[in-house]
Amino acid sequence: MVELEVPLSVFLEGREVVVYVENYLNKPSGDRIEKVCLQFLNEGYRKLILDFRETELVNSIGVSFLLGIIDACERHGSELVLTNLNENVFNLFELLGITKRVKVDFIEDESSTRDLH
Amino acid sequence: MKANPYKFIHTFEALAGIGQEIANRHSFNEMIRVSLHLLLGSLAIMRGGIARYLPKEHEFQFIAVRNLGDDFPLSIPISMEDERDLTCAGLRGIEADQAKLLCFFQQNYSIFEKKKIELIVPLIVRSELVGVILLGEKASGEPYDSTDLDVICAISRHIGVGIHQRNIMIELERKAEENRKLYENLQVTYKDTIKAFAAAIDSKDKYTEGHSERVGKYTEIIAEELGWDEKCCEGAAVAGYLHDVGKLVVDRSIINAPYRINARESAELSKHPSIGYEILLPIHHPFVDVPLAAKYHHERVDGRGYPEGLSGDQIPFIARIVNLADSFDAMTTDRPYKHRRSFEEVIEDLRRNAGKQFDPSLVVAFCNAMLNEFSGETNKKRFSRLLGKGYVNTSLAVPLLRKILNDLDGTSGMTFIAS
Repeated sequence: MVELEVPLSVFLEGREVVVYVENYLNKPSGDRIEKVCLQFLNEGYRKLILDFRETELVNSIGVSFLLGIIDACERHGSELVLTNLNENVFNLFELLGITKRVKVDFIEDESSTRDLH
Repeated sequence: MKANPYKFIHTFEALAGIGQEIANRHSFNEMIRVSLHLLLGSLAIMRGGIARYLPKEHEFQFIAVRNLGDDFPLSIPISMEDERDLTCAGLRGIEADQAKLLCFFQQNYSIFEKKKIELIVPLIVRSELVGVILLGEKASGEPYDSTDLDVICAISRHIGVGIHQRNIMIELERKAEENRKLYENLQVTYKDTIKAFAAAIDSKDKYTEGHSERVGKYTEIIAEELGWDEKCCEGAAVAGYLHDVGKLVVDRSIINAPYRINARESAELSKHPSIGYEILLPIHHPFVDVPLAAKYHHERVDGRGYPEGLSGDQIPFIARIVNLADSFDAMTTDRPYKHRRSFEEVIEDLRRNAGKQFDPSLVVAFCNAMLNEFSGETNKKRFSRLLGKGYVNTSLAVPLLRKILNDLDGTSGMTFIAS
């Protein structure tokens, strides 16, 4: 059982973990998520899924923390998937080119997974 | 920029955030860390770092880094030429290809290449290099376009101002500390000068060696007993130290006369308070009452003193304190023409002259200070040191002081039970 360093909703399945991103991805929540993701990567998890179903807003600092997670996954050779993004968040990530760097599931519809790689 | 509302709003939010961040007065390092997040997040730049320039050390010291790894150097020396070239370049991003001309870039080329550093932004404020920002690749992998450079420039300007403000604060703090030390040195010099003056005054009178210093200490004790703050007690001590400064111009033969001086000599000696006042008045003392203490320390509350025959509250309070301290020392030290009186006689003299020569409230304060020491209520041994060992018999002094304090009850407002 993984004991999280910070309180956050996660779901573990084998060597995969789903981390539920909070309503507003900003400095405090971004800091929490980055810490948890680094913890899982250091413990050997090879696939991280960031679930954005609750996330309505992402600010610049939140984007920066997300880039930190992307970079950490690349260094660890782990897979990262962003899922259940709402339209606004997806559009933002697409405009910033983040969707070119990481696998993204489309808007809040589990059936319409879109691999942009 | 392709007019895209999402990107515009995102960039605008980052710019608003950076302004707010720089204006905040919390930790400087935290401000720089958040600023780096804002910069990287505004354009989805994968990695970067913000360093401030230390001109004395000629190096960039990194305050915040993101995704540059543990092997990235946190301080990078730069040459004078680099400093000049970066300052000339101004607040514009220098792409890696152009930056290769800079010495520090060449020296760190392998690590910069490994970390995919694509852009170097000198932070210039008022034509001075205050720092640098290193930026890696964009998440999209695309090169930086002119709009990106404009956004980076706008955010970097804020960060530069933040570092500049911090530098000003550090300089102000350094100067304040320097001033504080200078002030402390000045205070020490002032105190030493006062003591030197007191020694000079006392050296004129071979029979009263240490008189001014003792009067300074008694005056300070009375001020403390009255509850004055530390600064005022210090001022009172200075007034005591310098009360006889006028004696410096009185003929030595009068001061040292081994007999009771005659009327002419007495008239000459009586000028010393006014002369002391004239000497002290032009000096800019931190304690303004010092000249008044010199001028009026021979006044009596019954109006029979000199030089002006003032009475009661007409006499400056500090002068009344010095008068008591001066008289007490005169009675408790040997003079050329008479041996000092016993402690019990001196205390009785204070009681008898309370309301005549002395302000009764000050006699109460002074006796209280003595009682506290001789009854063991305080560990301070100031009177014992000033009066010398064996002079005070505490078994006699304590009840006597209590009795006198009871007798002066009407003026002191305090009651002591005689043991």
